[in-house]
Order: sequence, then structure tokens, then C-alpha cells
Amino acid sequence: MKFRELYLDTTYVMPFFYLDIDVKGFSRSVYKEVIKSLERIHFSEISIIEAKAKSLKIRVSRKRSGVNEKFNEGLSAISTDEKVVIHGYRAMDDKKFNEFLPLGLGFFDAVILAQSCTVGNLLTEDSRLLHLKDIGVKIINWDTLLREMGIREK
Amino acid sequence: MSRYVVKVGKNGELYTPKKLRLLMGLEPGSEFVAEVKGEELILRKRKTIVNLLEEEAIAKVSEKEIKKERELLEKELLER
Repeated sequence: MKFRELYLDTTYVMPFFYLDIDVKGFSRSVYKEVIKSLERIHFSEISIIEAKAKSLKIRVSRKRSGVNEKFNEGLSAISTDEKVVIHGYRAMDDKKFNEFLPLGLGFFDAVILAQSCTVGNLLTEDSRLLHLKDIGVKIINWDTLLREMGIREK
Repeated sequence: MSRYVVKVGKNGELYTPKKLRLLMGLEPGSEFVAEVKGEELILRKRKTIVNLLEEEAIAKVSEKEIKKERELLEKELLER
């Protein structure tokens, strides 16, 4: 299956801030090919805040230098790349959020799921989200994405 | 630091010396972000998200850590 657009959960936003993720079979080079093949990628402004919080902790706890600079470089690129759509919280999202919150989701999970409705899909590794059925959003993980796009792990 | 003279054309085009084009890998269609600081004009190669993924990561985060961070931020936000 060919995806033209994809809504990314925070996990898949981390690599744009030079943070690798521990998803099985994930590599930056394969991810690059996936991103290249898409017309648009979407994610929530919340994911940027989550990435910032994580990068700050890495800077302090792992004593890594250059973390702030790399984060800013990533933020600058995602802000100017025409492929990227950053979602704020709109009235339509709020209606969906109110529908989704009673499903036992966390606060941010429900916001991100609500925002992904306009795109119709969501790439995530969150098991609670992956178990949801018949909610009008195709929720997939990395493994499913590669299979559906016909990409083999390198 | 290298310095080059860049001329401005009739329609505002910037003419770059060949040495500079080679050094910076400038090709037709290359994009830059222009930053103005007083009388200084700083041109930075515009990176795309694909360019970001061509570079090495500086650290690795686990799915568990991402989830934990989300829970902490939610807690902080909702308990205010």
C-alpha cells in the first residue's frame, strides 16, 4: 500500500532532533527512504515539546554537549520544510478528543489520536493505541508500515 | 574563515564566485535561510527533514523513556 501522508506519534518525531529510537528494525536510513516517499508528514506540536523535554534530560543526565544546538537545528528544519505539517489544537480536534478520552487513553495520546483523524492514519508504537479498533484512523506500527509499503529492513 | 565578494544583479540575484559554489556545494535550486543582523547578512544552507536523517544521531531513547516522559508531562500539566 502506498501512503501519501502519515501522522507521526512522538516516537517518530525524535529522529528529526537527532535522537534515535529503539524500535525493532528501525534505522535512520530506512526512515529517510520512508519520509522521502511521502508527500506530507504530520505531527502534533505536543510532540515537539516532548522531544524538547527529552533532549533537555539527555543533556543533563548523560552530560551530552551540543544537544540544544542539534534540537534547534532540527526545529529550524521542520519549521521550514514544506513536507511537514505541525498540528495545533483546534475545535475539531477537541470534539474528537472528547470522544477518545473515555477509551482509557492518556491525555496526550487522546490529543494526538484526535489530531490524526484529519489525516486518517497514525504511526505509533503505543500498545494502547495499536489495540483500538473502528475509530476511523488506521493505526499502525513500524513493522506494519514497512510491510505495507513493501520496504525490506536493511 | 573564507571571504568572498558576492554581487547583486538587476533583479536582486546574488552572483556567487565559482570557488564559493564548489566549497558550499551550491547547485541550481539550492535554498538558504537568510538572517539579517544589523549590517550582516548570514546565509545558512536550508536543511530539509531528509537532510537531518542523513546525519548521525547524538543519543538513543527507548520507547519506555518516551512513554515515561509523556506521563510526567501529563502529570505536571493536569495537576497544576
